[in-house]
Amino acid sequence: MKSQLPIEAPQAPVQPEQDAANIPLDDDLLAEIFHRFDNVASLIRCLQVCKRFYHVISLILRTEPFFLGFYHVPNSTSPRPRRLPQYIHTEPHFTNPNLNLVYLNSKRSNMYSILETRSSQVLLQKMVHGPDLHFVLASPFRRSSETIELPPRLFDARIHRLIVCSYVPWTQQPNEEYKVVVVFSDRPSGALFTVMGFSSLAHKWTSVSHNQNGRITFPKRAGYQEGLEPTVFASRMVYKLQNGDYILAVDPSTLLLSKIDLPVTDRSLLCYGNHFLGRTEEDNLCFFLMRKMDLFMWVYRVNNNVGGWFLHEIVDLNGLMDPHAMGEVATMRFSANMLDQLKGFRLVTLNGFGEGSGVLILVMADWVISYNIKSKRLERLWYSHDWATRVQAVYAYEMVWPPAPMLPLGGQQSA
Amino acid sequence: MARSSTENMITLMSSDGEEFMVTEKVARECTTIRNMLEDDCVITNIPLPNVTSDILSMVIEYCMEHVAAAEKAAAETAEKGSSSAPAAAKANKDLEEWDKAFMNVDVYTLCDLILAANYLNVSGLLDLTIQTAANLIKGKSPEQIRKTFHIQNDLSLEEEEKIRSQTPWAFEKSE
Repeated sequence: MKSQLPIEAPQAPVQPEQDAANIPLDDDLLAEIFHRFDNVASLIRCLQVCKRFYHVISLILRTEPFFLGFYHVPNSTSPRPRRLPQYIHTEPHFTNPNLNLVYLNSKRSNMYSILETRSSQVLLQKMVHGPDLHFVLASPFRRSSETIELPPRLFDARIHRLIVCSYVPWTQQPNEEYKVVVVFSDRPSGALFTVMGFSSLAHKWTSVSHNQNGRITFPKRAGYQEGLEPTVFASRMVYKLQNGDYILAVDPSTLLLSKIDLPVTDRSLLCYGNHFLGRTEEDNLCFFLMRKMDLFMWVYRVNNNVGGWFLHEIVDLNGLMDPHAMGEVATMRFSANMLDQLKGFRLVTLNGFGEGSGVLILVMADWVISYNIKSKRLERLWYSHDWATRVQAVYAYEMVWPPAPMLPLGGQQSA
Repeated sequence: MARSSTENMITLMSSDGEEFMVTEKVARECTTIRNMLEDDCVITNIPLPNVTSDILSMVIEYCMEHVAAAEKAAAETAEKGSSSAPAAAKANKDLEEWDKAFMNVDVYTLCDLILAANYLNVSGLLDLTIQTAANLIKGKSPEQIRKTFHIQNDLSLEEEEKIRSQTPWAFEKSE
């Protein structure tokens, strides 16, 4: 915005009849108008109006990730134990982007287990016979995928246990590079970690082995879930909640491991489904904990190489239940404490996080709910009949539009 | 703070030389003018070479309406000790209605108002005009948008096809 008043200000172009391809507004003001759009589809339709619109909108689309929907593994009634995750589209204004992964099934025998979603990619583990690890990085918007295999005989499912599998976009265009980070330990002792990193530019794996040195202990507990929770990629580090004990941090460039203690020391406060990791808009790691209907949020900040947790806020979600956006859910009583179900409360659980748009995903009474950590808006996304409020991972799907780099158009200039 | 009982009058001069006498309070709605007055309080005549008389009179109309509404609300609060919520809600709604009617203008005027609101830094008016422009654009087809804003399509057929192929789902109708 211009703030001074130049007395001899240059005359603004106000002859739209002659200069028809130009709305007589500068690019900043035009962008202001597009920022008021509440849906992506009409923004994308505007790309086709003229070169100037294309230019201004493509700058907006390049920087703002949109939450489109999510993947989840259906509560299976199918006899097969693992199958492709289902895509649920929840962006109401966007017309029918079919982002399901069925195209991956070239052979009927293929089975996948979803690991995580990040910046419009879906990382899956391909279930194959034999001990080796096969990953599939799927780009459902482009209907493409690539297979990334760990070098043979390095990983053996019979003796190793997977701890982290993460896809991270590492560098932007033009030398676009992504990395896949894998951490596994040997199952019997849990004392030896192997960290592997795949670089898409070098197209090869590098690995580092860590001996347990007292700093990181591998939790061994009865009833440990074999399922891999998704990681968080923030401040160029991969973070993974380690069985509610601590947070494992992996540096994707050096493949070094470190450990971060949780902001809560009292372990009895944590139960399955009441805490989750996330990423703030400022690219910091954050930790969510639900107590009844109070959502606690801590942010991890690093100052002079020393990291620390800061309690960022406590939000009572009851106060955010807008009947317009939440419908019948707004009339129910919820609590994250399992035992409160005996008193007539429905269970609320934390099930996913969308890093691009800052959306925490909750499940309340079989409804999938999004909570935008910035705007503090709760919104109903989807209802499932068969979820029975048990904790299930929900993988947010979001992307920066458009997923492909914008085309250069001839004769493009800014006004 | 000492305040003179007689209100200061300020003359605003449009690009085509027309003069508008307004109270200082109304002029202060424009942040740009407010800053000038704070820098140099003896100014009484301000030329605005970027704003035509038609547009300037509209901006002044908007500022006067909003100043009057704010004064009325303040007076009611002072009278009753505290503002009653329903009355405040009604006043807000009335002002919204007024804004809506005020925005019933053609697109050229709308663009000129955006430019003037940006130049004079009238945040309420800028917000209103930008939102109005957004409402005019969204939900329309590219052709309708061009028609509404008298924009010439300078994309070649080839380029249009490229854009469509790049974002295919945006142009598909669901079901």
